[in-house]
Amino acid sequence: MQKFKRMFSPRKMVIWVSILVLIISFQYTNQPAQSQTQAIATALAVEQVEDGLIEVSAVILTPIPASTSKRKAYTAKGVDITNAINNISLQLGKQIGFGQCDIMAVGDKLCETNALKALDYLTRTKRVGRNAVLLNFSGKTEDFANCVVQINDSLSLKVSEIINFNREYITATETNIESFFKGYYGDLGVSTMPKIKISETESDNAIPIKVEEASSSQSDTSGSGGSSSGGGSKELYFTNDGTTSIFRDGKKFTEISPTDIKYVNLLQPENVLGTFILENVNSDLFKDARVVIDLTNKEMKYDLTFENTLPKITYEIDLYIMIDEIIEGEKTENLLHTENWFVDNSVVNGLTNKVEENLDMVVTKLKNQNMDIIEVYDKFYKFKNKKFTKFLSSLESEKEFLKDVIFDYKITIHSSYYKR
Amino acid sequence: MKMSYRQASIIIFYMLVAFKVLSLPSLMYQTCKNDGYLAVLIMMIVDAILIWASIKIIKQAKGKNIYEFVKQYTGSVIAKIFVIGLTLIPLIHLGIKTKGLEWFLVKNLYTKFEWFQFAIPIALITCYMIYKGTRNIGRVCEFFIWIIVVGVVIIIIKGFASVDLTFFLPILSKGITPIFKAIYDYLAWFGLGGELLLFCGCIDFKDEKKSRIFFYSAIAIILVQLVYFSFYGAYGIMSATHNFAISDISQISNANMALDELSWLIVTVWAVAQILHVAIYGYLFCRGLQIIFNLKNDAVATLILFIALILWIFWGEHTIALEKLFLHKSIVWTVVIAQYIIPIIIWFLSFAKNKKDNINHPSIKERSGSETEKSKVQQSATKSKVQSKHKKSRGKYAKV
Repeated sequence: MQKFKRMFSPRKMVIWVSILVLIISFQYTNQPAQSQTQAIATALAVEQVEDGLIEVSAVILTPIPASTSKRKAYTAKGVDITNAINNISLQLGKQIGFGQCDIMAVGDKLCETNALKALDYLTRTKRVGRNAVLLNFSGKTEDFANCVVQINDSLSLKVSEIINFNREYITATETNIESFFKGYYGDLGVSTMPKIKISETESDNAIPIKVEEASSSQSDTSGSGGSSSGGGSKELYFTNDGTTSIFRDGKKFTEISPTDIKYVNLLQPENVLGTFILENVNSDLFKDARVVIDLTNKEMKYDLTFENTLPKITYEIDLYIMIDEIIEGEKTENLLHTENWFVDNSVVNGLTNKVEENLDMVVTKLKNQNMDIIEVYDKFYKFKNKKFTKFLSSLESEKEFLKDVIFDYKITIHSSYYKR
Repeated sequence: MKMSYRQASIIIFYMLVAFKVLSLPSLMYQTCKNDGYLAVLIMMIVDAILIWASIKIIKQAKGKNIYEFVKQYTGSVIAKIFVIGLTLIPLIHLGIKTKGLEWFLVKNLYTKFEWFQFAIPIALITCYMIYKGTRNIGRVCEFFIWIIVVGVVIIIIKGFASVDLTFFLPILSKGITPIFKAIYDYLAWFGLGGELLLFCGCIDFKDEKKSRIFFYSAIAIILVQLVYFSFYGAYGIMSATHNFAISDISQISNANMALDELSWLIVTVWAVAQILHVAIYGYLFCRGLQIIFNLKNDAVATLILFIALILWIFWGEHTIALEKLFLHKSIVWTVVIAQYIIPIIIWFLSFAKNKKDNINHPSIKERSGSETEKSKVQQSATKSKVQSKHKKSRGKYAKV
């Protein structure tokens, strides 16, 4: 026993542990560098194509110091996502790691059939981070991936930043995989995704992007080799106009236009910026003028009550505005900081009416389609639980509760940029 | 060598915190939604009360081990059964803890590694710590405690930015039943009263400050509650799908930045806390074995533990639905009996015996009081002697 004790004395223990560490780590010194066996995907686009096949395009980061572009798009088809990803691996000769993937795009067709399953698979099995920006796109996966390469390689722009701008100023909701799942697992199963359009024809507010056609390659479903498609370059148009795709139970069922989403977001607590245009405004200072109003700040509160057992939500919205432009016939008045002088009752009343009318219109649309993207259910469930649960139990379908909710708005216009 | 009272308090802190903030928050959410933190709060308060009762018993044992202490009330057979019951708790906990460590290290942090590559060095290190005795474990715990607390607090603070307080509403929407269901289902994660009794005879109460145990227990409860607050507040309904709460809090990012993480802090800090936790339970298991089989050599019990750990590492890794095993009703009931009923019986036995002794010998207190006064007088006399010696020696060195 003394011998045993001496063998495991503190000094000897250090030697034993060092030997053990050496034995364990030695096997790894014999293996090739990870950069030779692993490729890093920074963006991923998935879409369902003809014959039920899945097409995957991945933007791969190539760790070559002398290369002009460190990112390159690779595309492959497969019977399912795994197969398509394996086919890209065959093109690259490397395993693909998705841990650093910060853009996850799902094509229109897949969104309508099985977006949730695809996202679930990619986050669980392929370990795509749930913080990755999530978006819905129309167009080819290959074109989307090429656009991402070109945009991200430019000095001042990044696709994730464009989508984050949407989150900040247009959609007013989180736009990552985690928030999509949050919506899906919520009581109503409604979630949203920003929509990006990729097309070869020019459209308003589109970013023109020149892409090398030969920069991508495709492989067949069996994964046997890849074939380069075409040569030269083509011009693509990347459009982010604020259109939002709405999902129910993980499947896309409609889209909301940028104009509608602007009014929907007036009912969200986050600050949203934007512009309003009033036509034919008459005042002491101008006649039949077109007034362009800039929304500089917004404050929103809501009050939850019940009217004859029906839930009623009253929104108090404070809009802080600044007049940008007054167009009176041929005459155009550009205003800088003297706008307070021009804001009179005609502008205030005009804007109040316009906002109220549009809110009514948008809320009716939401009611008709049972799209609770403004979280009315959540608000009542959390703050008026007992009465709301009683109300829900009186309904045939909980998911259609929105039809019976009474909406009311109190809009106050402030003409100063600064909060009062 | 016995560990100090401060070290014992710190070890209790580790036992209270370490594995309640990993997979438990997610499991709790699955059962009682956003009220999961309440179930944990209730059980941690129960734990704190049982800890207080166990510390009282350990103090009362005056250096005896738990078998010797219980034997005087119940006889040797029942005492041995009690000790076997108490030894089962660290065994069950070791199973859960090592499995949790495997999940944390291999399935969460280093997916390319094999479990045995971590497990064998961890088993060696923990067995070595156990072999060197309680005081060594206590010292290591003492060294790491504030590093771990500060690390966890930083992670929690980062999570605060993403907390949405409405995720905690409505409170108790489904009543109190889901909370009790969650407590019953995940009982194996709680309870400290039982296994602590195995520390009988290992704690030196010289540096005892009554508030110390409450201080560390309170910090543990607050820390765990803050983790739950941060985790549930940030992930809401998605909490049920995040299996590594403390690690996932470090990855919360509202700005969609995949690299904005504090995982490095978790890697450095939390792994240490878990290894220490395994070492503590390993020690308690060895102590139980020593008492049951009357082993005089520490090395034999440590060797048995090492073999058990290695077998568990290789068998447990490939066993499907192993987590379900710990939710099995037989395990839950073993835990209820060993962790809650046995210490309560022991506590009542000692309490009843004390009361009986006081009724039979009312003068004992007075005598003991006079004895303590005597010893106080003796102590002050020796103290003054020592002080005068010191003065003399100081004088000598001053002259030199």
